[in-house]
Amino acid sequence: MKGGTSDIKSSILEALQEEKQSPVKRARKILNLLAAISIPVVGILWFSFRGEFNLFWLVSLIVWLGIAASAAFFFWKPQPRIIVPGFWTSWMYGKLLILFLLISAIQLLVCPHLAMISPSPHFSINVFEPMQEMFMSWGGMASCMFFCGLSFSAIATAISLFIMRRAATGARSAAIFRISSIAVLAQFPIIILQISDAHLRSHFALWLLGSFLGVLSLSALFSILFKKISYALSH
Amino acid sequence: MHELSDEKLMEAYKQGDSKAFEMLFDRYEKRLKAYFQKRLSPKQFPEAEDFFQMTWLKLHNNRKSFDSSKKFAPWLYTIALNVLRDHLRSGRSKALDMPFDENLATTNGFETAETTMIGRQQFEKITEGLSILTESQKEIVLLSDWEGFGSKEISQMLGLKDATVRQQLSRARKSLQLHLKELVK
Repeated sequence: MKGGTSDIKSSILEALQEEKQSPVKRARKILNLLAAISIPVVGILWFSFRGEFNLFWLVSLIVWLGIAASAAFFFWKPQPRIIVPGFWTSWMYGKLLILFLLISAIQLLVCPHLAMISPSPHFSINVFEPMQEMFMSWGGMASCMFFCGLSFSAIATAISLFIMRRAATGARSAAIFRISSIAVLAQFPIIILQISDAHLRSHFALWLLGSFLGVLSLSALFSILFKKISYALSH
Repeated sequence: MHELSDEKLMEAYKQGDSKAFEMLFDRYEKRLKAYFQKRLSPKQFPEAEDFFQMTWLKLHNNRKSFDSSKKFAPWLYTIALNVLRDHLRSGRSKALDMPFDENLATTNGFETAETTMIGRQQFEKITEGLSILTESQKEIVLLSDWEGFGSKEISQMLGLKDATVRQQLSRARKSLQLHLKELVK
């Protein structure tokens, strides 16, 4: 990971070089990244839920690909690729959006109930089944949707921000709000699947609220925690 | 290219000239690092590297907005000041105005020209002297007496009246003189 004085100089020099690249070369880089993240995801989802596919799945998939394309665009936008604590660039937001998109796809495999889909007979990881049953016992479907949104987004945020811990150190409130919005944006394809189900339609707002609160609280907590750790290590 | 003014280099950098950027960076690297070191307490020196990088990142991102009819140095220092102000506002600073710690200043790799040129003892005295000033006085003294900016440039950077800058500078110098005289005694 870059961090020193010579790195800021070289990363700006690289950014200036990137600005001179032809649009075709840049588009190829974006397409390569998009293919690298979408082919495995689409492949696993198709393999797992091939019997469930309908129009809503198609719309959801198109939206997922659209968000992934914009994440790849922001990732490869010419800019200095250096991580400075508390300074967020579109490259880092792009990277974070990719991570959240991957995690949102994994969510479907881990807990297909959140889109009212039965676990896949071909491939499923039902590790969160006891947790869902506990949430259901607290207050039925409404409680399950809220707490599932909260806990999944908290786990996703913890994983993503741990990977990007240097950038997350001491993140300001504006950055935390943007991180939360990115997390919610990555959940949008799942929301489409939830809206498609008559039973879930009345509860998806709770799931969305839970997701937003989960990512907001975890990113604020991690920002302070990483700052304290880096301060303690440097002194 | 070496004879070109900062403003001409910045104009070329705006157009994407890598050589012009390198020249500007090399011209201001030590100076800007020294400025951050003087503005922060020795315990904050590890963060000074982050502020230095952040200043160049902000400069790069906003380079198109540079007005080449104006001077480059005050513009760069305005960005640096804003980075520092953001830091102070966020409450991240815990050790401002701490007494000078010789070991910290030399072991963190962020040593300045001052520490080697004028000697550590004198540097310690000056740092101590600066610590008696208010934050705004310290800012004005550093920009004027260390960085060599005129009162008009400082007033533009800090968003103050020229007369206020001169008044604050005069008061700060008097306080520093008194303090340094006492230290010599």
